[in-house]
Amino acid sequence: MLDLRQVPDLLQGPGWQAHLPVLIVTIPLIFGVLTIATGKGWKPWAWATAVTGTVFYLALQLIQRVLASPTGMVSYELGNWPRQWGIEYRVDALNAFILLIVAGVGFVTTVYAKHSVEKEIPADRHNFFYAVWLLALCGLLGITVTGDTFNVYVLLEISSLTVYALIAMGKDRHRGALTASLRYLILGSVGASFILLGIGYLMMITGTLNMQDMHERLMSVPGILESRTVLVAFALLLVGLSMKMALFPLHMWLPRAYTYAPSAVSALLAATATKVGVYMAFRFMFTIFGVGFSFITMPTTLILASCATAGILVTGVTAIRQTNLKRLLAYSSVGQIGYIVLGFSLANVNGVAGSVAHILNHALMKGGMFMALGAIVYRLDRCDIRSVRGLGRKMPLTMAAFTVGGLGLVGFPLTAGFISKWYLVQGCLDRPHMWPLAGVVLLGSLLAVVYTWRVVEAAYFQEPDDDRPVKEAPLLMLIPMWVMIGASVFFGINATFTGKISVTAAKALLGVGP
Amino acid sequence: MTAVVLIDTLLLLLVTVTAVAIIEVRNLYASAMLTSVYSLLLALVWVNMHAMDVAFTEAAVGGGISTILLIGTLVHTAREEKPLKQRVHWRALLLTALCGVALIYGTFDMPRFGDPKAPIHHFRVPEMMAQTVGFANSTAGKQPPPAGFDPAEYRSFNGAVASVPVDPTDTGWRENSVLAQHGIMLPKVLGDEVHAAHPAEADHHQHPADDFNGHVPNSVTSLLAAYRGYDTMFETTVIFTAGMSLIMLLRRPRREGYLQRSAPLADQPVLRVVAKMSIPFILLFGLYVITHGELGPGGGFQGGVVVACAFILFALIFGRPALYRVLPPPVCDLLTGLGVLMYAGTGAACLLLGGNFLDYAQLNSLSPGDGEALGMTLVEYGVGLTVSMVMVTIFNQLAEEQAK
Repeated sequence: MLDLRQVPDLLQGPGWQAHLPVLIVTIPLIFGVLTIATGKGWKPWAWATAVTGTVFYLALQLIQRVLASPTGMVSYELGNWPRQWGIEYRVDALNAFILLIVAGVGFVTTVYAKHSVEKEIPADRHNFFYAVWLLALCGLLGITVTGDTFNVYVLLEISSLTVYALIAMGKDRHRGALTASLRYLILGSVGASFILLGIGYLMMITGTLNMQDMHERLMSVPGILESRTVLVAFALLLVGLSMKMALFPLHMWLPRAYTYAPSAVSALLAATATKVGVYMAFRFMFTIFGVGFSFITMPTTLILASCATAGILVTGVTAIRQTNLKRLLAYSSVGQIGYIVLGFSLANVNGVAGSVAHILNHALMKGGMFMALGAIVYRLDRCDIRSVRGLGRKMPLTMAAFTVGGLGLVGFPLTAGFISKWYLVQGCLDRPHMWPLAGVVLLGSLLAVVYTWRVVEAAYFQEPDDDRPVKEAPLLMLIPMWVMIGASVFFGINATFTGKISVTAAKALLGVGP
Repeated sequence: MTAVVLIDTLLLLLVTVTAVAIIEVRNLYASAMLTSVYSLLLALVWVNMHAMDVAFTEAAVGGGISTILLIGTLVHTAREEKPLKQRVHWRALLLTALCGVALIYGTFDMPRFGDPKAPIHHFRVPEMMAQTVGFANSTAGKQPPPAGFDPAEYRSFNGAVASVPVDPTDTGWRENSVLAQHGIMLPKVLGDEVHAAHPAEADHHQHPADDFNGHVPNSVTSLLAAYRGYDTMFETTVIFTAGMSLIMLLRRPRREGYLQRSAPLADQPVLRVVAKMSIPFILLFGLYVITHGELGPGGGFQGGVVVACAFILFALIFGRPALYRVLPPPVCDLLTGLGVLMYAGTGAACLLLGGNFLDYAQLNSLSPGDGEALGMTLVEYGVGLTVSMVMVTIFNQLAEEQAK
């Protein structure tokens, strides 16, 4: 039904598509920098929308090219230097898919951002805001597209720095944004240093920075995998990446950051930032160290699965006790990261496929739900559980979007969440002695029922505190919100596309034939 | 125990003592000054390791500009650290100690420092240091190695590449190298007739024009600007992002005006005269460091910081109003972006001329080597522009809030 071959090639130029991997990163870079010269008013927003729209189109072209390629991947050598010495962009089904998610969510969120940013960010710095916004996307896309470990770190610096700044821009609404940003800055820098140290140790022992080259060296040099340097590098990367993807109990930066960030920024971060962290974990564990080392030699399955299970249960309970809805969703995000991590820690096809599919599904649902909250903040200036009382009648479309998104978090059939949880449960059952984890997935869904129901009950079954008339959110917020939620329902009903691509990606990661 | 080890031990001991002092000192001003000492000591350690570019950066950024910015930050906070309620946080100490133990545990299987058998000394890196990656045989773009060329033979230490000629003008070692025997990296690409036509070129024949191949005498520059030029572009973007974020967060609304009070130091004749005399030389040195990066330690980052220091010194002595007359903030913002655009634009130009992104050889189809030289120079200036303007911006933003 969703046939990517139907995306038209607008330029029709000979050979320009060979440059797709680099264009997808340099276009937001170059045009992001130019944003500071776009002046005032609606112009920076329109500019950013045009840029992200182009990037989304390029991501569609790229995934189409990757799927059509006989080797299943597209490689691009920057500066025409041979890949072992220079920097290589290497796109296979997995990162083409993540690129599509980041670019797509980036575009929809940028469209959504207009009203929200007008209200929450001082008018004289919209050009700087959108410049930093585009650079954040550039960083996230750059991490995803690259096949070079040090390039990952450099782009990680860009995405982190921009995200700290974007979170801190919530300062005019609540001073807490500044401490939240500082807290994230400190923890994020610790995580990034661990990743850098890990890459440095690997470089020292393998002599190369290219991921594929590194993997081949780790596999071929005798005794290298037993060396203590590689062991420590693996531990450092595991901790650093867990920090970046906010795996419980290293998630302490996330709830405050999502709560106090400007609404549009929360929606963007919730849908993309931690997902790219998970993608990095895929690359380091599966592509560089290889499944054999990461999941058989090392007790990674035990460590990650226990962190993930604890995360799902603890944050589920914590989310139930929240009154601020943004904070509620933030805790729920940590729990959902738990599902994603649980999936790939099983290191079997169904588990990893569930993980990959949940990256898309969670991005759509959580992005849409944060957009709904942003619309409530736009109209009411607050978003605690008290303020949504009776809102089901005043803002029917917004609350309906929130409810459908919540059903997705629960994993209700016909929503996207159901598909990924189906894979996850299968993955748990495929692995011997891991069946209790399937129970955890179901228990986590029950917790999601409780925290979603609290909001639904307040919105539809309680009387509002006052009779103040509240208008429905503006159309430019409703459309992106419903695009996200609609897509999550669409991928729940028609799972062929996600299913196919996530199984392809999982098989490629695990090294089992197609 | 050699003298180098002795000096290193002494320096590292001093570094450790300084680090402890930074944490222990309650006076934040002293703490900021100590970070400068820390960076200078570390720069000496890098010098001892023969990492001149790193040492230069550490001295310019760590010892110079970041201290100025830290002191600028102190203006907004207190000068004294608040006394801590709990003297030692045991859990944090334990965790940090464990982390340190893990790091040291990882070093046990590390190759020894300077060990010629270490992986990085015989895998991938020698080609980078010898600047033979890509095999440009006088043709545009990088070529595959010619038939019969055995990279393994080249990687084995037969002295052909690793040896350094005693006489810098003697290029005989190139002809004798494994590479030259296979027709790679020929020194005489510019024929004698060209040298005759351009006598000035004769001195440069260590620098084969058509076989440039990212080749510059300072191999660090070829690594940063050519082989891994794409990373450097994003490092520049990181600096740019820092500047933009600070403007977004700290800049006061334009209507309140930029100018507060004039500099208190402007009536000090000695300072004024010394500043006026030294600023042109600082600027010149900054530009020299940027331009000269291909020959010696230095490059866009270090040179940019030096240029920024000239502007900051000017602002400190003559006041920010005077700086704003020379370099108004909107111009500074645009120049910041222009630096990144120069870098990315060079890359895009290579792409539009038919090569890959940042394939400098495309910039001059007749003489790819000149194209690479041009590209690397352009990106170095881009880096220098962004770095210097961002440093000035950070200084301005930190100083601007002071008047509140």
